[in-house]
Amino acid sequence: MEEILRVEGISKTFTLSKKQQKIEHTHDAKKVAVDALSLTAYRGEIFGLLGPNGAGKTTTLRMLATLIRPDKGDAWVDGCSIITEPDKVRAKIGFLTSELKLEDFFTPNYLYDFFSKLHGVEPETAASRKKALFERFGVEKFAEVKVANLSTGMRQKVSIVVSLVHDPDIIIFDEPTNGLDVITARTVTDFLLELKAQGKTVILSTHIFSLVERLCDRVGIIIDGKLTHCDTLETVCDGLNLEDRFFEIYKAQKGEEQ
Amino acid sequence: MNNDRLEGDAANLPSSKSPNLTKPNSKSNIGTIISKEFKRFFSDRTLLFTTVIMPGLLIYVIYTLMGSFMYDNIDEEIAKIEDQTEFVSPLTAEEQALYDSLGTVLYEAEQAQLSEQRTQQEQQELGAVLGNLIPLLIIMLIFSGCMTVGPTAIAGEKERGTIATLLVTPMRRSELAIGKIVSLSCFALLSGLSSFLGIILSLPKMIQGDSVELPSNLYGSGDLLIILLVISCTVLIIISGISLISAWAKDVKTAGTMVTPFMLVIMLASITPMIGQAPNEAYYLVPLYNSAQVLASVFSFRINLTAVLITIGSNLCYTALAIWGLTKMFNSEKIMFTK
Repeated sequence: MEEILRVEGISKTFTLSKKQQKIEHTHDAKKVAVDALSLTAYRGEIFGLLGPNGAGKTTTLRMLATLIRPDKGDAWVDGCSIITEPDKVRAKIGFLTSELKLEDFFTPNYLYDFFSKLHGVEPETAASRKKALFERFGVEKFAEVKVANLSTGMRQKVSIVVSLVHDPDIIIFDEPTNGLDVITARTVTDFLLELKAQGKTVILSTHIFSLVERLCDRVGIIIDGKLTHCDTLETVCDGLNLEDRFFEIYKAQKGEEQ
Repeated sequence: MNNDRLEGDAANLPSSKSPNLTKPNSKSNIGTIISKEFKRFFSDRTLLFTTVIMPGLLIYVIYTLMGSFMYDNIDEEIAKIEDQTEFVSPLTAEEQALYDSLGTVLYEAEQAQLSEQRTQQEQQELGAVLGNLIPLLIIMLIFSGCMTVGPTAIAGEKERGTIATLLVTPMRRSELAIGKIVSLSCFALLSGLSSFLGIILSLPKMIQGDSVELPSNLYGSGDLLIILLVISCTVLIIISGISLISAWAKDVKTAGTMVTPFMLVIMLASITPMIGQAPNEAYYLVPLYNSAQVLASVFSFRINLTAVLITIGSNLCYTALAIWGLTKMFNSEKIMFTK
């Protein structure tokens, strides 16, 4: 298997404000969001990061997308370091998270062209790819409607399409089906499988067990910023179903901490 | 895992496999950013009206009304005084005629002597008034134009989450900073230009009323060019300042609040011509103060070309510095994501 993503001991600590300390019920001014996390992803696989809310999934993905910088460690996307070559990394990945929004004022059509230009995609390639992606997600029906007037599902479809303008080899999706109706969620998950079949690597974070079971080849379980398990779904589950196995791991991890 | 039915759809997606997949886009994205900002601005009719059309229109209407009102009142007062004054001359008709003709000759001789002197003096007095007032008006109008578009441009994008979408593209942060500052400056400049036209068109009416014409050659094309250049670099300075504040703020509301002290600094700088002229040329290195002083010098007919060059050059340097700072801010996760 060809290695496309290698993460070596990345850590991230955030400073909490007084207000955040109150919310988190802690007196510590520092919070370790990700603690020496290492993993590897291979070409053509779907890798799932599974964990409860606040476990560090999103922080990990944001570091891989070069939006934030790890305090320690490094990661290489197709050989490019997220620390020293963030521009190159950004050209290789497609990143989608709920914190990335599209400007309400523009239409999907305009936004696709705009992001194609930013990624340096040739106009002819961009046009044919736009046609195919718009058809695949049914965006052509509302291609000239301003984003402000689109439903959540429609917006998510546009966000996915826009994140893939440059045909990235690695697609990083943070909770890709959050807030979507079942039909749109199914369209998205089917598309992730299509990408895999195309030889793309998909890294996704989720807390939905069924999604991991349906999509992922390998899974990493992340609890309190630490990657406790990382292997094929079968190996991690160890004969149990994923949900039962997860809670077993979770209790063991929490017990260890106490 | 159900991978068996996937190949068909996946194969239909054209690939953009090109050099950009292995290295960042080498073309500059500044034009793309500017083009997006222009599309946003010119498609929004409300924004266009409040930023470009309204300032000039309002100034023209208000100043014209002010001028007409002032001179109508003066004419009325003179007429009243003339009506109330009944002068009875002690001279006979012949003596009166002789007195009148002698008076006319003496008056004309006196006028001929004083005419040139008076024109210069009037122009200087007019220049002094304009030199005190116009920089204040221009700078405050530029500032209000900048305020319409500046705070929302970056803080708004942070608040809406659209800045993160831009930051995950391979575009260089400096391109984003330059694109933002240039496009915002163009909008603010349009607003400033609108105000400028409003002032120029209403100036004759405000100063002398409808009955008297202001000399058409009061300010030459060179003066107007300097005014436009100084306005342009002042716009760049103010937009740069507001952009830095906007990038630092977590949302538009905070940006609006944080801009208030900046507004006070701008107001202070714009009234400095009323206090006095710059003591020496080094003072023209002080941003905003230099713009106010140079504008005052143009309007009061005492242009110092060295001061003009120092002002334009230093303001461009400060803008470059602000672009560098903004690039750093775009690179800072603390400022962009955790504030």
